[in-house]
Amino acid sequence: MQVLPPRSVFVNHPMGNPFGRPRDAKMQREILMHVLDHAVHAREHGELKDLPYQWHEPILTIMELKAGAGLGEKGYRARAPDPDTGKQPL
Amino acid sequence: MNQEPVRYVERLNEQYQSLGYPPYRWTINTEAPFTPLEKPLNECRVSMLVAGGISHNSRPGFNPDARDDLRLDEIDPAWQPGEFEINDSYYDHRDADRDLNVIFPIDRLRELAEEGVIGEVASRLWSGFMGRIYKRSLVMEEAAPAFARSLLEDRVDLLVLVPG
Repeated sequence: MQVLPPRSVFVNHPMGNPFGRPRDAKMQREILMHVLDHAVHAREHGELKDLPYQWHEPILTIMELKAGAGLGEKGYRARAPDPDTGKQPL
Repeated sequence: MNQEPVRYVERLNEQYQSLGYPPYRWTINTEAPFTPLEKPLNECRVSMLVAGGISHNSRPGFNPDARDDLRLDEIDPAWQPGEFEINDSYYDHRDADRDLNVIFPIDRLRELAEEGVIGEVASRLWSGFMGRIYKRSLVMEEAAPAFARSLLEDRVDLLVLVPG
């Protein structure tokens, strides 16, 4: 915690998915509520709340995705264009 | 499957070193002024800042590889998630391209206001400060204070900051 914001919430999701999965409004709302709740209840400066969420898939950094390394048994998402947007892999 | 958090700082240090860059000087703060909320959540005006190269389609996209980009866009809270684009080379935003709410939950924030969980959504949300900012004094002495003044103008009680 080097930057030390006045209050912060950590969720162990990939960068780019702090509020969870696309179209999962329930999880997005839950996490946002945790954030707001922490703003209400935190009592000390720099207080960090670690949320109990797990991603249930390998979390790869952008460097690993770009390198195509460690993509796992599913070939992971970086291999094919996104089915919704048609965008090419990074 | 549980996994340990990714050590992004260590990974970035290694990457920068391997590319021949001098060590990145991460900001280290030892104090964080604590301001308690002065009213219950259901009376609070809430704003949100996202740092992840997210722009409304009425504006040019962010430079995905920018350095020292202090651009800060005002976001109309009535805009819809499908009206944005993301240009940032430093995180995987394909999920966010499909549903902006995974990184900038504007739908969820509006719903909480409609249900009375929060008082209201502020008149301006924000997107900017997209990273790789080396000019810290410019942030601390100019950009951040200017942003704070905007929040005061809007009488914001609570700001949610989301990194990208």
